[in-house]
Amino acid sequence: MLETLYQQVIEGIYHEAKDPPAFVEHKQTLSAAEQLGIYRDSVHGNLVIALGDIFPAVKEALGATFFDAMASRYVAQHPSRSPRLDDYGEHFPAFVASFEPLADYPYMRDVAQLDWHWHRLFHMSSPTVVAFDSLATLAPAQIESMQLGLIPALVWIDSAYPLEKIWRLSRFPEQAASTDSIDLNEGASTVVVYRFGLDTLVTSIDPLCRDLLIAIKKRKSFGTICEELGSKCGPEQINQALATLVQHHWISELIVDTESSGNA
Amino acid sequence: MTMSASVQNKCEGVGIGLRSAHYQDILGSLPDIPWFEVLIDNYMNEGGYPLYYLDQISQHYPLSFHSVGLSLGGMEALEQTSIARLKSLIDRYQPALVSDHLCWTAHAGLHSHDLLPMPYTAEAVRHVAARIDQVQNALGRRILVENVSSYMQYQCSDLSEAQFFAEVVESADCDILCDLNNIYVSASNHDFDAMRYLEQLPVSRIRELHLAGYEDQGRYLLDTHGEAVHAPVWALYEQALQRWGDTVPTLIEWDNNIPAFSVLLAERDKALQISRRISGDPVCA
Repeated sequence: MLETLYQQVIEGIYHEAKDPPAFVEHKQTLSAAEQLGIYRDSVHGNLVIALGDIFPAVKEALGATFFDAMASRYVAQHPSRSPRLDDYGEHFPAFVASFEPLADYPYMRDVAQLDWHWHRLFHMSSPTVVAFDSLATLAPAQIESMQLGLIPALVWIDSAYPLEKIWRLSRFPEQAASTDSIDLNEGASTVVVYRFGLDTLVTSIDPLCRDLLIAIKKRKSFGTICEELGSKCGPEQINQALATLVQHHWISELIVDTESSGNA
Repeated sequence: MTMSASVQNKCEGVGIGLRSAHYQDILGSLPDIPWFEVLIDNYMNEGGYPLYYLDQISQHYPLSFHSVGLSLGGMEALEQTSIARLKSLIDRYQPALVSDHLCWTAHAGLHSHDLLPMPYTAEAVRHVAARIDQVQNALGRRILVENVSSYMQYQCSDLSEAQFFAEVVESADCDILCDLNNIYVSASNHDFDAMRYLEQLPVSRIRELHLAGYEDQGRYLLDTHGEAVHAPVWALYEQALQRWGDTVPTLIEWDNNIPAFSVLLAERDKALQISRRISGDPVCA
């Protein structure tokens, strides 16, 4: 009996039935459909609020009325499938990208992605970073064979737009000067979302840093990385890019082949 | 099951629900609050600021844990990951009380994130009592179960809500978190006597009271926990204390439209005034 009843209730909440629910008592003050409707409205309303909390820059950019209407459509198509409300909204960036009224705002998907990753990283553990003091003591062969690891709380987003500027203007409008404007044709950018201690931070990186992040994630040795990136830039630029990653505390691991030290 | 009786924390008097908007108020002035109730679902992640602040606050105040996500009345298998995480947080913070609701929140893979009412039947009593027992065994401690507000009554129910509640807690051997606002809201929506409801609860199991605000939607009351406690709920609180004494800890709960911390302190003061009036203690200004 419970199984059948719960199935009817959850279907009534997520998929509005045409017929009044037979399992609910009719009252003088509220019909069976109205009683179930209170729960439907509450569940939908809570999920819309949750999306607004998880995607604050999108909400600010579009305005609460537009956002809530769009979020309501999303809720209707995407019931929550996780016990954790924090998990809700994973498909929202893709939904934003395909939402026809936003066809003239193609960057909004990227803004939504940035909001989503910011939200996920906010709840992660503070990363542990590696001390690079020992790098100076390594033999050249060891540096060539060393492998680096990235902190888990790091994501980068490639965008055809100046994403960091767009996101900051929406996320922190109070910090923007009234004269601030963004040239959407400024060109592509790569934005990194990451944790530094308890803080969730956002910064833009240049294409070389991006390539370095990709190569490190693929667990390539530093020698291989230098060889592959060598066609685009010189060793000094690669070292500078690596320094940028280290300064941002994005490197969590340094694996050195102790046997190759004898080759120095 | 055998429970370990003692906990380091103690909840006494009138506590306040911990909300992130008030972290700075609390840590900045360390107000004279006997305990805070933590909506523990907000702290189930690995790290970040929520756990940082919880660490800080736990160093100054006793805590209780209040959960909304165990779906005690649900049909799906209890979510073991959530229970394990809850257990680890209990081990870490040693809360005085741990509670969830007499309701279900998920079915067939779909989650409501809302407290859905159970049917009041003997089958449902057996079902939810068995699951509460599972949770208590997994956590290694007794939990409190809270009555929810409801806006819908099932045709199949053949017990009153109070009968159902009383039978569940006896059968599961758990304690009661009695939300007086929820009782008032449901009593108004379903036309039953709130005081009669209180009379049917096993007094020895009542370990905590909740006070909160509702919204009057005209044809029904909506439990929003987003307003000050209404006069009829204060009156019910006074009646409850007259019946049960003033030793049960009380919580001021405010979940939506979170106001300034001073508003919660004012609500706390109202509860204290009633409590002192009942106990005959002089009312402090």
